[in-house]
Amino acid sequence: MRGRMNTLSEAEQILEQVGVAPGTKLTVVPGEKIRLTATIQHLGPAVTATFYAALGNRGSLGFDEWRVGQTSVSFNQDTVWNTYPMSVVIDTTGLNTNTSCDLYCKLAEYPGAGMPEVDNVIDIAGATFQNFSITDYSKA
Amino acid sequence: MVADIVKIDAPASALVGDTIIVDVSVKNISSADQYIAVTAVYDSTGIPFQFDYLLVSPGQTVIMRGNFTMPSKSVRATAWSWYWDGSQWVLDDSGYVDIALEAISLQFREFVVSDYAVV
Repeated sequence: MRGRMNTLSEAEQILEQVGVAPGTKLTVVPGEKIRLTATIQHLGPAVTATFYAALGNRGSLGFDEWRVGQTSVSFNQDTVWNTYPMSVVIDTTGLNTNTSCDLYCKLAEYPGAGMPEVDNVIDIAGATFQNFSITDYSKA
Repeated sequence: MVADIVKIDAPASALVGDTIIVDVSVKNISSADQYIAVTAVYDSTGIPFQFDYLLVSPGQTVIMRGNFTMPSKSVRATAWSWYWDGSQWVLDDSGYVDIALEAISLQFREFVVSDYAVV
């Protein structure tokens, strides 16, 4: 029975590592980290770029970036279109709870590459309680 | 001269990997029918042609077509014409064209978010 529980626990851990598709809600608690993965196709000379992603809120005045992550990405010289996967980690430490967030990413040096965005997909959860009940009482 | 290379058509520039078509126009400027052949190279690599040789009437111009794949540098394609004198092929005329390697400009496309996860 114990071995079965371990297997279940491992399976849950693996499932937690599997990303959700764009548009699917993901609930995190402040302090957890989000890994955002994107793909892009490249053609032409070799370049190095900054893969930049932000968690925040899309408003009428633009994207209010609450937390960001960035990493360097190298593209080879490609004479035909080549697809590159990229991933970056965003730390959610200190974020207000009970809010919903948007995500976007870009290549910082190449705005023309595009800025894919997924809105209203990250929920920052606050502390929750359940099964609150009196278990006993006695003379102290 | 018998097999006059009138012109050589090829693109002035190309991207690496492009198929380069080289059209060599050869005119029989003699007064008799002639077997005419064309050979060519880019750098030191031979260019295959559609026909090994053709029988060409006096005053007639034929186009011999060859092709090769553009390498990762600019090249010069050189062509030679030959005619058959009854016992051997005789080298007659030559010409060349320069084909510049086009630089591919930096481009991105299909930038999409694939997924996101708690780690």
